[in-house]
Amino acid sequence: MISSFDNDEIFRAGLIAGTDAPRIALSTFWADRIQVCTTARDTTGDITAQTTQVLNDLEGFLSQGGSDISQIISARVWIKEMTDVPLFREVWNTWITAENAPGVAIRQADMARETIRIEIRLDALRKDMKKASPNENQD
Amino acid sequence: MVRIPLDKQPQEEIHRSAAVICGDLIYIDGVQARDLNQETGEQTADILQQLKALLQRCGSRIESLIRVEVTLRHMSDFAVMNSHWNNFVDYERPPGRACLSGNLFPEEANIQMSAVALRMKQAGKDGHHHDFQL
Repeated sequence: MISSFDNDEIFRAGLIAGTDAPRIALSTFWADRIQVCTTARDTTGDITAQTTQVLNDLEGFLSQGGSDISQIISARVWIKEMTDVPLFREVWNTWITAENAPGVAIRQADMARETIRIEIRLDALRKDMKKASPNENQD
Repeated sequence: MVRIPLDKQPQEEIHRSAAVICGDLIYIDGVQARDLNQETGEQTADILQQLKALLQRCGSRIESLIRVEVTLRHMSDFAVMNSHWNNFVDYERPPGRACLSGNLFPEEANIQMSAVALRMKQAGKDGHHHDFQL
């Protein structure tokens, strides 16, 4: 059995809290890796608006964790209506650069709330591993 | 790479590990409740209990979870799942989470979880950190 642990080596950003909210961190990073997963803050918008907002937030989290768009390894995309996929792609294709395209898997799923049209999770490499402020709230 | 077998390896799940340890990371996939005749709340509690035990067995802990993926058969179970979740996670050190709906096998399974966690290094008497020995 483990008797004692090293200090917490995982850093977190975008901590969610609230009466009806799950306690989660939108971004966790450690060593040379970062993972970020989020839905749009405002889910009243259409797929284009929600995708834009999600990608903006993801970019912010990547930067906060010492990474950026060019370092993404893998992307999981969950979409409520598969007819939204072409519209998602339009936004994605202007966001990501061809030289640094990650693997992308898209699948249909319903998400926590009816109005959520998209959820994206990224795994990326961190370039700047000193950039780490543990348990920092996003807001 | 170290593969951790299921506690009871049923014949139909003979080609499945409970967890796989790869470097500093632990991958735990496809955890379902042991008793699928229970309500979603109890299924959730049982899965989280299994996760906790698996993490300990692999030299990790709840606070070292990096992310969890939850699949719910019915998104209407979101609130009951969350109430168990919030009792389970460390408030100061929660993991990332994606919660999606999807069909599961068998049909009595209302919830399934997969997780990635960081393995902690053990502090030795010499003050240096050593890899946890299984």
